[in-house]
Amino acid sequence: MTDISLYIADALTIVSIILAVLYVIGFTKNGKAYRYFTCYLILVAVIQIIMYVYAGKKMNNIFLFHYYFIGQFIFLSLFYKELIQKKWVLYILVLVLIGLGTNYAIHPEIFNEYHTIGVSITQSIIVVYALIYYYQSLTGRNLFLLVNTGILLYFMTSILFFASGNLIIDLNLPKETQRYIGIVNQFLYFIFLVLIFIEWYRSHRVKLA
Amino acid sequence: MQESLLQQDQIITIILIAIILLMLMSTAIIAFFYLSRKKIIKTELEKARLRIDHQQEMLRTTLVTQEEERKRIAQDLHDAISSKLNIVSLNANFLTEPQISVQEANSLGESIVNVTQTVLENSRRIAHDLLPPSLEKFGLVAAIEELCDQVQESKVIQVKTDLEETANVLRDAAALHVFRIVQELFNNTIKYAKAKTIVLTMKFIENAVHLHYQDDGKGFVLAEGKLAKGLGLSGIENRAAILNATVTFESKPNEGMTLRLKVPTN
Repeated sequence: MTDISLYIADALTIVSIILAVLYVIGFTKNGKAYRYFTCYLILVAVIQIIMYVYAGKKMNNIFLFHYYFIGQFIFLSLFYKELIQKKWVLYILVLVLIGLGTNYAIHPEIFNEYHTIGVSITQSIIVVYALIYYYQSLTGRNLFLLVNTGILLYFMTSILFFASGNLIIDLNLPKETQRYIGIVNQFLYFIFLVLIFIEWYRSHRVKLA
Repeated sequence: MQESLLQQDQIITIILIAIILLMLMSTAIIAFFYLSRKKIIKTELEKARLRIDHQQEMLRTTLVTQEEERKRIAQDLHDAISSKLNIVSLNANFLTEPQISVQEANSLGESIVNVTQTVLENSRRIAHDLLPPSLEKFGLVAAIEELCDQVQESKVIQVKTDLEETANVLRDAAALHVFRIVQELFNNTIKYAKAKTIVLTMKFIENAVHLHYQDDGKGFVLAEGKLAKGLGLSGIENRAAILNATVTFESKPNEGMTLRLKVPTN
């Protein structure tokens, strides 16, 4: 039986590459927040492409995950720094990066597995930013609200998914069971991508009007 | 082997349940924010609407007051100047008649001089009422003192004042607004209140000019007073709003009325 989730993964990869391209089109015409978010989308697209290349050569691609979550943290921190307009977002970014750097320097071997604590911490911080931005948006600001919603929904749930990554690998679960969890994650990721697309569509439509 | 499979299943179930719970939680948070946002925006809109209504009301009363003021000026000009100038014109016409005697000419000339003087006096008074020159030359306190003197001249009302020179920090437009407010208050007291004494103090305390006005007249029910057009209380409130000042009225029938005005200077 062919694995459906692999097809879904293919589809999601293509969608995220398309989204990155769509966002790049308006890159110069938009503000800093938009640019940082575009950088994040490009990062996701590039990492997914490299992942496919490695998977095609049957090479271990788990080290890419580290670039993914650290890059994601950097770009989304900058993105939220623009939205929340608070300097301490940058301080937290620098602190966390220093912490992670020391961690990698002391334990270089973690490059070959999921960095559960790192990904949990960075994603939690992004979730907190999303909540703060939601709170600020109560009094009128409405930029990137859909993206914010997507980030809150996807990041909050995927914390647990990524955090249990090592466990799932260690348990040597049958493919069948891994797939269920994979599908749940893909479903949430799909919603996230749809929200990003609607956000792009809206801003684009406003410009055209 | 069987046992470890069972354990695995349990762990997977727990993970799935936890993910679903987190999903529900984040959905709840999103729904909560979305609904609150909607509600807040709705109340903001409502507030903005009220503000606009209030502004329109202010504008309307301003226009009404302006129109009344024009009417008053027109009346003044007509009564005090035009009708008198008519007499002058008539007398001057008589002077051109060839058969009048010197005596008649003299008396006509005298009448013309008299009337012209009255007209001059009247035009000066009207101009003065419109904008007292002392306000610009000597400042707010002097202008209000002059106003008090005019009111006292009638001998019906006694005005007790305590005006500190420091209140002169108000200049130009602000001073004019305060002056107009005081003028309006005197008008009310004279026209409606039948008061015997007015107490007026003006002081500069902590970056604000405090004005206190009190009469011992008939007073009025506050809610009715604010609606009554003649009293011009809404005009006073409008001017206070322009000055960013806080204004409070206190009045009850037969207990006189008090006004407190605090005009910030920064």
